[in-house]
Amino acid sequence: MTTSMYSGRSAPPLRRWALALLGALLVVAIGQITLSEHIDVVAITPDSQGLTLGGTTTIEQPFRATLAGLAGLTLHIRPGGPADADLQIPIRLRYEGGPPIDLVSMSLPLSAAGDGELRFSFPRPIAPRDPYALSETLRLIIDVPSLPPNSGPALIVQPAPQDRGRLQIDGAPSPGYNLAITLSYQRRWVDRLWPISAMAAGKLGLLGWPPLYALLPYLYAVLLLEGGMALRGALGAPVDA
Amino acid sequence: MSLDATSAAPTAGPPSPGYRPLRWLLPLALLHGLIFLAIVPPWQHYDEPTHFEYAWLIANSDHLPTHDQVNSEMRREVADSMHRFRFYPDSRQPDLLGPAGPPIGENQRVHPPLYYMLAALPLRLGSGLAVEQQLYMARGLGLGLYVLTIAAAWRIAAVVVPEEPLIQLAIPLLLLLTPTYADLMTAVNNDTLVNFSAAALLLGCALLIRDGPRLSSLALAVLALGVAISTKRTGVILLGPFLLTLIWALWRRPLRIGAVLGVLLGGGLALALASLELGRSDSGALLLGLRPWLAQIDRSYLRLNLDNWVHSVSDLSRAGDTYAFLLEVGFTTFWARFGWGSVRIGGWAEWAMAAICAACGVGLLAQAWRSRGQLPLWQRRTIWLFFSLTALGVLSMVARIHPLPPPGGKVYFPTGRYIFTTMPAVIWLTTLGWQGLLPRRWQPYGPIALVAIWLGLDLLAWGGAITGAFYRLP
Repeated sequence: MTTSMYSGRSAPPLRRWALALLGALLVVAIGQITLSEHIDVVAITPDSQGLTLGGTTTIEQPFRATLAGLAGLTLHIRPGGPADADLQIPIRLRYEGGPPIDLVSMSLPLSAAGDGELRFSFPRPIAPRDPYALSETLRLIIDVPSLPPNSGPALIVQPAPQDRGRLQIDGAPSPGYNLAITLSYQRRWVDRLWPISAMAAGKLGLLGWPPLYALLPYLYAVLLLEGGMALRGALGAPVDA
Repeated sequence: MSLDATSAAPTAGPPSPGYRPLRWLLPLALLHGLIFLAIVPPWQHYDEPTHFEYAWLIANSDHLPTHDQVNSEMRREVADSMHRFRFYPDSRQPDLLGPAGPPIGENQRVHPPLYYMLAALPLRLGSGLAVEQQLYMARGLGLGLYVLTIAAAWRIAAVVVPEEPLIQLAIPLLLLLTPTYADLMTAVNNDTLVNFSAAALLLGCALLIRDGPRLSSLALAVLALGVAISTKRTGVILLGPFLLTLIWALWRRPLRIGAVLGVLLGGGLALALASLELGRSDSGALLLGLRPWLAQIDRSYLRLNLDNWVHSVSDLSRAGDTYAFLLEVGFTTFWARFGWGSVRIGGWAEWAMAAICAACGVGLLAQAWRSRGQLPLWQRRTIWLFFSLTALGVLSMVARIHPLPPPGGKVYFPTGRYIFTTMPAVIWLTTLGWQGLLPRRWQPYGPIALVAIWLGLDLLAWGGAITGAFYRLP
């Protein structure tokens, strides 16, 4: 009669554990990889038009961020005269229907626009209010600098089908148009396979660290492999020693 | 499975089984539990907010809380967290401004305080942290108990089948990989302590049956039983296997069937005489009632409404549909639904588990026939021990739905978690039945195949159902 027939296998060699540790570091590293993704909320087409800023106080445009991690926003702009180069374009972002708190408040000089694109990069990516919702409706507010009517640069707007546009100029709806916006996201690559950012969202401390949710299954798989090898060893173990 | 008929020397006991498998089994259990602990969103276990409340009140005061004690500040924090983590439907928002704080679920302060006193220990260390962090600290107690339960399951296997190294590993792995069990064991819930106690009790009982009355085994069994019963009334069913074990540990020769029946009938009669008395209804008809001591226990601990229960059980007119639905709810939540019972692995998984369990039932009969007269007495008795616990679990589920409300009233159907105390025993019977289904030459591969099926079930549970249920993907 015997008992520990399967336990005669030597302890896992150091090399195997070193490999497993290396794999863990790799998983954490992969979990940290973020990719930029640019998505047009409203694309520019040949029938796009310009909305001249002169004489306007505020321009507002609600839009839907369809992914988590909104990290930037591009306005498409047609520069005015050379005198406008130093003109500052200030933007603010709020949750649509949320509290009147600015998530982003920043401005860029018109001279920063290259190829008619004024790219705003946010200090931190914007997370959805709802930890599990990866999309969020936001409101872009542009506080237009004081300019004479019908002068200055023009923002590109796109005619909205069936007058379902959501653009607001000086508080008045302009349902015929939407502002042309391109959104930039910073997304973790692993989120495409396994939503680690969503799992960590809203949690504090270690549990709020997204790579943890990739690391745990990896370590589990390593030990499962160890268990599988033990089962295989037990399969071949003699019944009586 | 071929249990060794030659290992019939229970007094000697097998040599040390070697603890090497625990080197990977315990970390594996820890990681598996951590995965469930981490990815199941806050408050998404059965009654988790109010179990947490009970422990939190103990941690934040110098006395046990009364049944109606409320800390409105704490309730606001919990309700706010529940709202932020999408506990409520979209249309519902908790009233955080009410003076008593928003309701957060069914009051759990009907349970004995033992588990909550333990859960309060980590909460004392974490007071001042965010409420979700405190919740995860309390979940950590369940995680620790889950790991210990897996260790106990392995030890039971090493005791019961010393000659079957594969089954020694398969049994704890199957328990570890059962997603519903892992989910509950990593919750803030007093079931975690009862379930661990049940596994520890089974270990003590297996040792007592194998080795006879030894102080250490008896102490383990008594302690485990005491903890289970002191934690939750669902632990009461463990009394049956324990008493059976005591008889078997003391009487180590085969019992005659006539003597067994006599003892059962005599014991039943004595129990009935001790606990029941004849009384009269308002109309003057004779009826059975509870003796005062049992009525007192019923009022203060069991809360089964036993008087009405006796009448309800004997009413068979509504039994058919009621028991059929109980079977469906109990079975599916035992194997394939978790969270608050709302997370389904899949309808196909429920049918697959039903097919496996039915087949394993047939396999058990085949196994019993095949190995008749071959197994030593102590091994046969251990299998009967598992069977008796499983049967008591099923009976307790039936008992729980009684007394039935009047026709048209809502019947409370308990979920499978109430008998997770039987899970190690059910895993044993499933494995034995599975082996009984296979031809002898395939039997060595049987446990591996079963573990592979459980692994698939588990991966689908946390890889698919959990993410699908709890996360809004684009």
